[in-house]
Amino acid sequence: MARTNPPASRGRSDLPRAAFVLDNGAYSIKAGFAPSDNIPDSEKLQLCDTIPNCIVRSRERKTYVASQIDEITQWSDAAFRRPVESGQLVNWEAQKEIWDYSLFDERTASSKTFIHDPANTLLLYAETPNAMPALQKNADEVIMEEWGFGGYLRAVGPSLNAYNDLHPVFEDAEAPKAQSSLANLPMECLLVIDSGYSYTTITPCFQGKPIQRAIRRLGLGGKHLTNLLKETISIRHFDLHQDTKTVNDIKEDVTFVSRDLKADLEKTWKGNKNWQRPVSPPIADDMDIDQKGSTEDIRVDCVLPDGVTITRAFTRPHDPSAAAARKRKLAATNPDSNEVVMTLGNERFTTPEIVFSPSDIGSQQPGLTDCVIQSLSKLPPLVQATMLANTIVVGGNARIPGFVERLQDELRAKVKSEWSVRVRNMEDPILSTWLGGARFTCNHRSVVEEYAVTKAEYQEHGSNWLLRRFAYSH
Amino acid sequence: MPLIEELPVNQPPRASAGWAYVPDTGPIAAQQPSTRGDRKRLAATAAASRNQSATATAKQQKAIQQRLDSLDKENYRDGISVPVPPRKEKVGRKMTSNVRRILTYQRGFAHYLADEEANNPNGITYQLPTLPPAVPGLAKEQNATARSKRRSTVTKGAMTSEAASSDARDATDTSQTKGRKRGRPSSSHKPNIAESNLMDATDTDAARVKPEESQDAEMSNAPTITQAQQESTPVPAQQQQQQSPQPPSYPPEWDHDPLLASSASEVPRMPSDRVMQLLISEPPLTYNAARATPLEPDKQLPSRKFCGVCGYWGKVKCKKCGEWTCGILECWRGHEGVCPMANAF
Ligand SMILES: [Zn+2]
Ligand SMILES: [Zn+2]
Repeated sequence: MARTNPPASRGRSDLPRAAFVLDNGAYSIKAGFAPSDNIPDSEKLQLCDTIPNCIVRSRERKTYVASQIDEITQWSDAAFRRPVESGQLVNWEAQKEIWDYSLFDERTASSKTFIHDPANTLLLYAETPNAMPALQKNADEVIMEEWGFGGYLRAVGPSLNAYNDLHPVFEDAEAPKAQSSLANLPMECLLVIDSGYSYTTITPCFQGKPIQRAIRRLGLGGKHLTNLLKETISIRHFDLHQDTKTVNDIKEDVTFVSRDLKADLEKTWKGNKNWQRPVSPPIADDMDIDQKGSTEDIRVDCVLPDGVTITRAFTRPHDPSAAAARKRKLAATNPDSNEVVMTLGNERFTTPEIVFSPSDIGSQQPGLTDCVIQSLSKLPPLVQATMLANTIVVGGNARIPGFVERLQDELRAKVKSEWSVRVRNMEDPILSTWLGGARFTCNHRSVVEEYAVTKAEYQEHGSNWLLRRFAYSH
Repeated sequence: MPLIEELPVNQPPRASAGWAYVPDTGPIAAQQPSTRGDRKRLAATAAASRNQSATATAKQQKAIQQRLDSLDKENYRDGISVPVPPRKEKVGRKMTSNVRRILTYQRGFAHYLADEEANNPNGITYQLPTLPPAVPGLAKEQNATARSKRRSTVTKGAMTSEAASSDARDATDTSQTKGRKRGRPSSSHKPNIAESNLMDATDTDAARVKPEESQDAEMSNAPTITQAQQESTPVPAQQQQQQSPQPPSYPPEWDHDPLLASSASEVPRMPSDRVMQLLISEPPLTYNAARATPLEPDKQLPSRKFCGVCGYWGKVKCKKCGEWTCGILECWRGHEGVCPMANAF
């Protein structure tokens, strides 16, 4: 059949219409069927589920798979197993169980992610940049041979973001209306910074495809931030080394990236004169503005879970009163007190600071900004300029307040002042890659058909053929 | 028993019971990277701190590495195994031998990485593949139409188009001129698009901040595909891959591309479609080759020191273990209690 038809319509009716988009992250899986019609993005996102990509064994030695972990109330001492190690899908024994549980078992999969009939489903599988070929081959073989998808397309995850509707993100006043088809074309030049659990990647994309020579990776991600915060809290407050989940929650709740580290450090130093100044004494009117600016309290009080009435850590504004201080002191020494509270100050911003200054923890790696420069330096000059003006940050760390602003500040200070630097955040940076994938399969069926393979093709040519083919078509 | 070493400083350190203030300007300077014209001093500070760190014992290096390793851990405790719960019933499929092999293969990340390094010493994962017959010509067609529509949006937003072209011209010219002056290998061997123009200009703030380093700063050590391909003609193919004669990934025509021409009169523009299409069809780098590379030592800012107790700038160094504290008594006492070398004497 393939021989008799012209290339443009080469038997592509054998590819299933239904497309399932799978962004298999180290921390969480983002998965769901792409809509068959072009519905608004907000409705597309309703079709996506986020599934923890882990198996957890609790202190009671009970095992929880994927979304089962929502049942856990005693997180202390929980041990994690993740199929994705250092960003690479290494362990298929664990991954298969998580996929079976979440995607293929009718009794446990959610309605959004249950794949009833893989043979009539096209799988768009988003992989990390610079995935190792041996691991790509493993993935291809398991996907095609174990579940038998009717169609399969493996793509570099960050590049799928180019298919998102980026005009509003960059406040492009000239967003095409008359030629609305243009809105669906991939952004011509887009720099995607994906800061996830294992590491942070920088992927320049042209016409929706990654420019491989320029992809660079900073080996710091959300895992390192959580571990660092764990270490810091354990030195300064309570030993939370065994409480990964709790510290991760705290990290998500309170950390931010400072735009002025020096000033923020001063505000949170006990050695400063203003330290713990009671709020009550009235301040003269003419001092008011100034005082507000300089004494704005970064500190927060963080209440730890007790596993009974409080199952998740939460925070509230710091209470500087002497009574509260006494109470905290009492709680720290008396395990029976009903509330375990600690006050977090500079931990809030020195933790994510390491992404921008890895030498703070003794790492030799360059900071994120220098990583971006290293990536761009592999591109022609005018392309560098265009990338800088079209930079988005996706992944869990993009949600840390100040992350995007700090990156923009630092890039701004490093490049020629005539060059525009625009670093933007996606509205939902965690689902952004999935959404781009859903838009890709929705709006660019012909491109999908060009690159996807059918089950029959796989069976005929095998996995080495597939490996080379996807390597070429990325 | 003095616990704090007194570093040689210009002004006499103010001593108090058992410890001393040691003015340490490093951190303060370090967090003002935007200060213009301070580079020399910063560099000097950097050099000083490097000399200092050169004397750091292997023990300290090991401690740093251990800490970095611990930050990379999945679980705090080593050797934890979380078994996959057994499936209660098989779902009617018959497992293929490939799948069975992959599922029972228990090697971890480090093993795969070592394998990849052994198989791809040049930093690229694939030879530029010979096109499989199944790849249709559709892509080119489709892209061509799409491109013609998109062309207008290429540089939009980067800068106003006027400014864009003149800037780009400046940037290109300066870098190329300097490149020649410094006797860099001519572009006939590799496309010099890899060179950075990001900070390369003589009339900007950026240039004043980084007068010299900009031209070379961005040539990373990661092997470019071009280099890799050229340096070793018979690249050992991946074991599983079929051996087939490989075309060079770097087409000689690039040398004649206007973008790469060194003529100053040439008006720079976006690289041709052909160049861009070649860029997006290059094979991926290996995992290790894609790592960001450490900055040259003289381009690194001095490392900042923080109080190990409260997290403020570190200003006082423990003589026994080298840990820094901020100078308030409370923090010093806090450190004394946990100093790993407290009983070393
Ligand atoms: Zn301190
Ligand atoms: Zn000490």
